[in-house]
Amino acid sequence: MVQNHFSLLQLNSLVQQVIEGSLTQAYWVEAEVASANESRGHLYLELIQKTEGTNTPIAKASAKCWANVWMRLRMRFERETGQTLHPGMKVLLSVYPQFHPAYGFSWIVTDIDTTFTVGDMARRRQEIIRTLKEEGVFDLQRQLHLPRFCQRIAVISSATAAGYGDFCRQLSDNEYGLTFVTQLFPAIMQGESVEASIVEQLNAVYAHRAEFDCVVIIRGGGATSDMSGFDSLLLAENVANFPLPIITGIGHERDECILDMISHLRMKTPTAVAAFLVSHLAEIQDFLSNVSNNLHRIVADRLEKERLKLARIQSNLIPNVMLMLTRKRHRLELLSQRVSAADPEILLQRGYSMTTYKGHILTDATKVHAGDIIETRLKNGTVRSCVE
Amino acid sequence: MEENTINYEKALADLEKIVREVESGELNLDELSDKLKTAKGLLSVCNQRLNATEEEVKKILSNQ
Repeated sequence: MVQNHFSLLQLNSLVQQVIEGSLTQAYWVEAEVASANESRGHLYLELIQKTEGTNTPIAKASAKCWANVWMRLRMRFERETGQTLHPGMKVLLSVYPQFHPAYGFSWIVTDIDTTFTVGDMARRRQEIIRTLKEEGVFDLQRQLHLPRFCQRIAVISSATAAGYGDFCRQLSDNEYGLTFVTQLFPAIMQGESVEASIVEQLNAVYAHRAEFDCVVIIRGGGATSDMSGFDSLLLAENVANFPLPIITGIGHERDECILDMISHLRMKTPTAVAAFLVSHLAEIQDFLSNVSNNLHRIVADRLEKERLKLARIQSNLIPNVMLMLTRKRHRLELLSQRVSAADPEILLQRGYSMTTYKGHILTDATKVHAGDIIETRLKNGTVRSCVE
Repeated sequence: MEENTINYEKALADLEKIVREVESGELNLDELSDKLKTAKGLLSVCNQRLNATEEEVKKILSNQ
């Protein structure tokens, strides 16, 4: 029986011979990254395959990428995907099997097909966009109005990022002398914690939302191009439902990320966000100064018009009044003449006489008869006569 | 001023009425001379008003 016993090394070596003797080529394998760690330049992966639509693993394996290979693959991977290799990613790896008597089974990675990962990321982004649209929140941010006086700004950024410094400088040193009030809500802007950290700071801003006109999410100045945290459904939903307009400046080369798509406005860099805010506020200042100038002009025009009108009235007043008085005087004179003309005294003065019968002026000889007494007034005195 | 204007216009209307009556020739002699007296009184009132108004207007306008 003793000769039937193997040492573990002997047995493992047997397994090694079988595996390496029968699986001699490299294979392309699709898998999801369950964990990824670097140590002394080597990459250690846990790969997993789950059943469609569930989290139940149906296959699992370790994989390694040696430092000399990984150094080259990593640069290409991050450049082409815009992300670091991280858990949850779908990857297409070229692997060959290795069974080490001391360390066990592992797939050794020799190449990565980045187009597979890029395609998978795009598919996931599409998935997130579809979900957001189904929830009816995709356009919510763009329906918000940026206040015309947008001066109180909540900044979600890493406190130490060069982009944050650039942003603050650009705002405070603006050519118009406009004043902005910024408050930093420090967040982790790269790596695995991006989603949770930004959501936490959004909640902090929300608690003081009445004190701000807009929210700015900026990142920049770092060497990393890790965008994975910004393509998150949870973050997108939080941003979409946020009551204040959110402006992003998370500077990156590749296509828009979900955060950019969902935000009120996306700018390329923190500096561009600051420049936009300055010109936005300058616009209202310009508008107000135009309105003020117009008001002054309108009022001055009106005053001038009234002044001219008054001057015209004044220059016409004296002649008009005098003309009116002259007309009245003329009318009075005519009346005076008519009164004089009717006064019999004037006729008497000129030698005419006036005859009356029983107190009435006599103008018709047939009105008197023989024996009637008539009176004739002369210039001096009255003659009484008897009609024959 | 308004009262003066009304009085002037009233006096003028009375005056015109009297002149029409006098010119109609239908008045007896006593009435005629009464009316003429009234007419002369009204004429003098109107003249005074007119003169006073003209003075006042000149004063107001010269103060501007």
